[in-house]
Parts: sequence; structure tokens; C-alpha cells
Amino acid sequence: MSRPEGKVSGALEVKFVPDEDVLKHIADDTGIKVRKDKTQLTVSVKRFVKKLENISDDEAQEILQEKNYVAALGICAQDSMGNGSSVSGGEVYSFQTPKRSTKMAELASELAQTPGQSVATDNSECPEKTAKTPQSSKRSGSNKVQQRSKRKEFVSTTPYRLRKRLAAPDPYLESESEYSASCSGEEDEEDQKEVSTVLSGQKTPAKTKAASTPPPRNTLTKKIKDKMSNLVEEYFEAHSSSKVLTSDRTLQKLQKRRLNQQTLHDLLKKAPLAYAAEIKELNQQHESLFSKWMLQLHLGFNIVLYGLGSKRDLLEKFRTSVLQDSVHLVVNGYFPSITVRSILSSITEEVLDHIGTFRSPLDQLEFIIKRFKEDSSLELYVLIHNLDSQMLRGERSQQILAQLSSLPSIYLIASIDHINAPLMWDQAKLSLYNWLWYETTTFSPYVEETSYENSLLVQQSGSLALSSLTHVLRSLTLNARGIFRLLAQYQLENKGNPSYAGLSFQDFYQQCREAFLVNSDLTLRAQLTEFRDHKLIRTKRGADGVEYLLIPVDDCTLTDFLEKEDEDV
Amino acid sequence: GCFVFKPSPKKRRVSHKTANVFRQRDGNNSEDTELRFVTCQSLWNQIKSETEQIQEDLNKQLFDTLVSFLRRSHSEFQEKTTEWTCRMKSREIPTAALVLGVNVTDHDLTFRSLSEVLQNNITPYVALLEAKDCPGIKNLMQKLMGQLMNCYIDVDSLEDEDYVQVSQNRIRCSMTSLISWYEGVTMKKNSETPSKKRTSSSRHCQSPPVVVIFKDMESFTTKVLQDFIVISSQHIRELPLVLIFGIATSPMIIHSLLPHSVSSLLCIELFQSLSCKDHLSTIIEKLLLTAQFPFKLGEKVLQVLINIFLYHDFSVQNFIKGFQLCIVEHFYSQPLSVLCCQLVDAKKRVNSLSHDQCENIRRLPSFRRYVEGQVSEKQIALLTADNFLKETVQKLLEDLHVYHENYVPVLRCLHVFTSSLPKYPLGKQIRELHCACLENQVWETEEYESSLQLAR
Repeated sequence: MSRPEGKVSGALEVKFVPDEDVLKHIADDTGIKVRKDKTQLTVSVKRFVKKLENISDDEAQEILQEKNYVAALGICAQDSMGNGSSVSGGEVYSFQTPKRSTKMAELASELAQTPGQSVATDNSECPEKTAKTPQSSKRSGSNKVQQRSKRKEFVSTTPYRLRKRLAAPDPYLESESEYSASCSGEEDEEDQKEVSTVLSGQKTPAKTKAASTPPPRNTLTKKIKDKMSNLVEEYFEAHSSSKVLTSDRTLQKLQKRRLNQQTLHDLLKKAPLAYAAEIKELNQQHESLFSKWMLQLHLGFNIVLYGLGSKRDLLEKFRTSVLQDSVHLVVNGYFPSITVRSILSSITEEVLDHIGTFRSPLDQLEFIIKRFKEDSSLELYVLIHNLDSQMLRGERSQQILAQLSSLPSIYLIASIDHINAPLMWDQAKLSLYNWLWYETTTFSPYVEETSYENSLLVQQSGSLALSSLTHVLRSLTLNARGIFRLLAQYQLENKGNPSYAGLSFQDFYQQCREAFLVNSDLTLRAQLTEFRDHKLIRTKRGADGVEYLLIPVDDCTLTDFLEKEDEDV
Repeated sequence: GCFVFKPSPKKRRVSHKTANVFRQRDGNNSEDTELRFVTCQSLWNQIKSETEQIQEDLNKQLFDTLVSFLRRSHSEFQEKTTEWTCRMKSREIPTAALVLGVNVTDHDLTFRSLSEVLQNNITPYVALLEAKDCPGIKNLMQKLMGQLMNCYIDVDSLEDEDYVQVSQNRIRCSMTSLISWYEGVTMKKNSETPSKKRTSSSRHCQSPPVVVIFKDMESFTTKVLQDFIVISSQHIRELPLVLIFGIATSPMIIHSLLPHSVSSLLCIELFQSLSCKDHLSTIIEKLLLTAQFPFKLGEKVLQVLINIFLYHDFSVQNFIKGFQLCIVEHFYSQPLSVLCCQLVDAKKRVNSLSHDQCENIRRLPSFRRYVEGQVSEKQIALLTADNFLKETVQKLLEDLHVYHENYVPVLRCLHVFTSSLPKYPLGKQIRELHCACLENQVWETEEYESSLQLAR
């Protein structure tokens, strides 16, 4: 059992296989599954390896990890075929039953306690196996490089794998996901030491071995016993328990610190665009519609673009290529503080050159409608990116925009992204908008549109808070800084305490006196007032009427701040 | 998040004309595209005026009854007959409940023409109110007075002082100010020498009623409606108010929206507009089942448009818009659509076709089928000699025209025969029969067989 499994885990490491090969591989396996079980395995592994030779190393790095996922799926299917029982999709993806999860936990604890032993046994096997392929050294090298350059991929894929691991009864799949999880866990060290790759290599097979031995026994017997009723049972098992079991391995638990915005951005930039040529062709198809759009806009229709992918670039291209010679208004609907009023104002102020204010958007709209009706030479193209954005999807905003768009000399071309976006329009609004629907699937990433959103992968940095802290404190006297330090230190000491309400004023005063920072109650109070004005501290009155002081900054930032202060001093 | 881009003033002169846009296409022969555009526009304008005419005719009867109703209520007020006084005592507001059907999108047009008709015949004081403008009674009054005062200014074209008056009134809108305004207007009109204003106000009587139209009665807040009705019923003596409710569902809604104490203040008369299905049938009959317009819809497109109508919105306007889109699309994408015009013009245009266009004709699948049916010498001539091709095409066009001229009467005859058969094998409506005919040879279908059996 351990030998083919080891090979499989080796093959799983070889991630760099083109799509079609993987597909072929899967198709092959399902074709001749039962007869050649173990030979098939080795053959496929060899094929993997062979393929690998053809692909140059740097290219290999570029291939997305998804393929790994596909490969894993394929092997999963193949292996279960090899075991002589058919695994249904539902079984692979079913929710983990509690029984098994406790087993997993046991396993994990076992692993944690006795790593050395299993490492020793597998250590010998691991290099031997890798030595077979000429790529072995390169592989580890590339592996490391990849880990370094594509951190975000690891971070992003880990939850997937974890989920898969939980769900999968298959030991090989388990081992595979275990491996990647450990990789992301140990990334920190790997960044610094080369040795650590070997370390992780050692650890992985160890885990796979430990994890693989017990579970297949019972799953196998169970499967053989009742193949058919199995499915039904699994179904009800999965659906009977009201509470859904999810992985508790959250992003918070990652040892690797999350990236900051800039690094994430850079990394994403480096990621290659899949199917670039096809997407380009698709976009060209869309662009050929530009003149048609213009015609239809002029005939009183308005145009709405829908479909997957950011349509911003397409609209921008439309704007630059067709609308250069006419007055047009671009509205970024995804902008978090956009309002209908701002749209109307930019029309009145900049297009109509009207100075003055309006009591309500409706008045403003009336004014615009009047002006456009009076002066037939006025023309305005309005481009709205994400008409269905959070800020514009309200009933009133849509009503105003619809009325605006119903003017014959205002041409509206907009994009929507939410799948239920059309629900925001009732019959009346639809007839005002007079839409023509164009499906413009671009598959391009929503880079601009999501730039105002926070990513899960990005560490919510307290850099702003930190810099403001240091700036304010730098302008203060030495004593004042000392006072703040005292409070910060006290808060950090109590950071584990959930019932920590803050430092009471009396205690604080006592401490400050002892450190010779203040000489009277009043000076401390004056100092605290200053802090409060800068929002450095917050005071709360407890149940006993005592004033408690608190720094409203999270602990990490505070730690950073103290470290920095120490450096300065 | 908003950015305005203005072109430099030099460039600004060049504004996009629709024709230019049409031409911008990388079409090979520019004169044809222009011609196509002109043809398209003229065809669309014809169709548009035709549909408007149809709508007007259909609404005429409804409007006539409405007008006579308004006349009655108003004459009673003026003559101060005993009947009116006793009604005044009970403080009832004459109300017309206008049941229009669920096709809300079409209502706009109906109301617009209605207010036009009213302004021409009955009274200059017509206010159109929509629920979205009136979240509260205050907004409602504001809107109402704004509209009334504006039309006052329009009719009598008075100067600045009235603008001041309007803005003042806007600040404190109340029924009292409305009444004083009304008195002022009627007084002025009565005192004025008739010679000056005769032309504009001759059609209106001396104290014309004030008509308030609630476009979408269902969506008004109950409270607002109630308040308005109660308040205005207090002042019905001084202000001859007439309400018109636009109702999409059923007249019962008035009673479910308003409590008895309020609805008893109204003297409701019911008016029913033409159903949208009949409207559509008329439109299809006048636009498609006629030789007047050379543009015909194919089976699938017509089916889609009808399905959208029947299953989605019941909106005749949307149907017409879809029809417009079909026309534009056809003229935009088909170079040979230049021939889609009246027969006389089409013949002329065939003569002046360029070589490329001739090639386009040769590529048409229907023309190919025709060529394959000919003898070989003729085939060669058709495929090589442009002049011969043009002659043939002229002949074929004439045949097509004759076919369409005959098609419609024959279709009508068939419809008369089959429409009263049990179970309607060929459809109840003529449009269904038309679709069936477009789909394939109708005399080969089973339904035709069975209907013939039944007819015997």
C-alpha cells in the first residue's frame, strides 16, 4: 500500500501538467479502470514525469494550481476504482460525518506528538523515489521558488484543499491536501532557509503515511458491504444534522502573515491571464458592435451590458474610440461614495454650466429635463460602470436615472454585474430606460471595481493608525509620551483578558506618579484631555462609576508602536 | 466618481448625426447606405404615425365619454341647479375611475393624450399626479399647485409677478391659497374684455373645473389619498374639482384602498378602456397584415414579440419598440434592404444597383433556389449578366408584391372560415393563423386538414 501511495504523492507534487494531459489521463483511467489498477497507477505516474521533462521549469511555475486540483480529482477517482468500488461524486463531496472528524483530530494529535518516528521511516523512501526522476533537484528548487513568488496562491488554495480533505474519504487525496497545507504553514521558514524544503518534504510523507493507514480500512469494508444503500445513507446523514460542519482552519489561523495590499497587487499582476488569445478575440467581437451601439443610442434606445467579467475596459474603449468628439459623462458606479446627486450635479454644473443649488434631486432633475428639452442641440452621452452598485441600486436613484435616460438627447450606456440586477427595475422603469441588452462576457478581472473593497487575503494593516499615533506623540513632551507608553504597556499586558475594561484613572495616576511623570491629578487630566482630543484614548465609565482609560487601537498596532518607540529611544 | 469629458470647442461643432452613425459602418458603397438609412427612417416614421393614429382612434370613444362626463359635472356646478346644491351639501366630488389594464407602460401615452384632449375641450386646469412624486400630502399639494399655476401662466401668458406668486405659493401650499388662486383666475377672466382672450378661452366655459388625474391610483399611499379627498371635499363649494383615477387592476381597488367614510365623499363613475389585446390585434392588423408597408416580420421574430407581449408585459409600446428594433436591425445589417420600399421605387433602385449588390442578390438563398429551378442557359445568364439579373429581379419583385396583395385577403377569408370552428384548430386570432402560414405551407398541416373536415 505504501509504495504506490508514495508514488502518487510524488506525482502530486509534480503539478505542472497541461490541461489536456490531465483530461486524457482521467479519461484513460475511467476507461480501463478495474483491470489495471496498480500498473495503471505507475504508468500514469511515469507519464506525469515524462511530461514534466518537456516543460521547462520557469514555464512550469506559471501553470495554475488548479490543474493540480484536477489532477488530484483524477487520481482520487482512479484510486477508488482501483479499490474495486465505485465512489460516487456525492461521497467524495459529502459533508464530513462527526465520527470521522474526531478521528481526524485524533490523527492530528498523534501526528503532533510523534513526528520523528514516521519521518525516519519515510525519509529513506522519499529521496529514493524522487531520485528516479531527473527533475528531482529542480523540482524542489522550483517548488521553493513557487512558494516564494506565489504565496497568495497557497493562501488562496488552502481553504479549498482543507475542505476537500475534510470531505474526501480517499487517503491519497488526503495526503495531497495535507501536503499543501503543510507547505503554506511552513512557508515562513522556507523563505529563509533552503533546508526547510527538505524538512517539509520529510514531514509530508510522514503525515501521508500516518493519515492513510487507518481510514481506508473501514471505508473500504463499508463500501463493499452496501454499495447502493450507502449513497442513500450518506445523503441523509449529510442532511440530517442541522448544524453544518465547517473547517475551523480559518485565515486567522495561518501562521503566515497576510500580505499587504501592494504585495498582493503585484503578485496578482504577475499571474498570467488564462486564455488570453481567446479573450482578446472575444473583446474584438464586442468592439465590432460599437457603431451599432451608436446607431441604437441615437434611435432612442439605451444600452445595458451584462455578462461575466469586468466591462469597464470595454466601455472605456467605446468612450475613447467613439465618443471623443462629444460631451460625455463617465460615472463610476463602483465608487463607494457615489450618489445620484453627484451625478446630477456634475451634469448641471459641468455640462450645463449652471451655478446654483437645488433643494432636492427631483428639482435638479426637473431643471435638467427642462434645459435639454429647450435646447435640442444639447447632447450628452452617459456611461455608467456598474449601474447596479451598492450606492445606485436604490429605488429612488434608479427612478431618477431612468427618467434621465428617457430624455431623447441623453444617451445612456451602462453595465450591470449582479445576477439579480434586472430585478431592480419594474415595468415603468424599464419602459423609461428602454434598454437594449447586450451580453458582453469579457472574463476579465474586476480590478478597478473591487479596488475599494477589502480583500480577505490582505492584512488589515493598522499602518494608518500607527503613523498617526507616532506623529501625534512626536509632537508631545517626553513626559506625555511616557504616560502614553505606560497605558499602552498596561493594555498589552492585559491583552489576553477578555473582561479587561481599561485602566482605571486612579491606578493610572498612581503609576504615573511612581514613574515621576506627573505631579498632580490635574496635570494628568490635562494630559489625558489632549490625548482624547487626538482620539488616542477613550474613556469609559464603568458600572462602579470609575473612569477607565482605553487605547482604541488593536494589539498588533500597539505592539508595533511600542517597538518603534523603543528603537527611537 | 463622476467625470465629465468635453471635447475641445473646435471639435465640438462636429456632432454625431444619426445618419453619420449609420454610415460609419465599413460599408462598401456609401450611396446605398445613405439610401438605406433614408428608407429606414421614412418607413419608421410612417409606421410610428400609423400606430399613433391607431391609438388615437381606439381611445377616441373613451375620451368622448370622459369629456361628456366632465361637461356634465361642470355644467351642474355652473348653473347651480338644485341637483348640484344638494350634491354640494353631501360634499361629493365627481370622480371618474378609469380602468386601463395592467399594461402600465402604455398608460403614460394615454394620459398624455387625455390631458391634451381635456385642455383643448374642457378646462386649462389639468394636473397629472404620479405616486412617486407624492409621498406625502404636502408634496401632493405642492405638485398640484405647481402644475396648475404653470398652466395658468401658459394659458394667459402673464409676466413676472405671477412667477413671484408661484414661488410664494410653493412655500405655503394649502387649499385656501389654491382657492384664492382659482377665484383670482376666474375673476380675471370674467372681468377681462372677451376680445382679447377670446381665442384661447372661448372653448372653456366661465368657471372651468379643475381636473386632477391620479395616474397610478394603486401606488398612492392610502393616507395621502384619504387626506386629499377629505380636504378637497370641504372646499368643493369654492373649487369645482374633478378627480380621475387611473386604475390598473379592478375598480374594486377604490373601496379596498379607501374606507367607506372617504369613498362616500366621491361620486364615482366607471370608464373602461380598450383591452390591450384588442389594441395589439389592431396594431398587427394595420401594420403587418397589409400591403401598405413593405417590411414584413418573419415567423420566429413575430412569435417572440407576441410571446413577450402575452407572457411578460402586455405592453403595446414594447411591442412597437421591438418592431422598431427589427426594422433598424434589418436595414443596418442587410445591404439589399435598399429594395425594401414601395414597388415603384424598388424597381427604380434595382436598375441602379451596383455590381456588388448584384453579387449580393446572387448569394441570397432564395434566389439560389430560384436559379436552380431554371434551365441551364438561363442559369448562366442569371449568374453572369447583371442586366438580365436586374430584369428578372424586377419581375420577381412584382410577383412578390402581387403575392402579398393577394395573401392578406386570402388569409382573412381563411380566418373567417376557421375562426368559428370548435377547438380553433387554426387559432382564434388572425395573428395565430398568420404565424402558422409563415411557418410552413399551411395547407400541408394537420390543423388545416382537420379544420377543413370540420368546415364541411
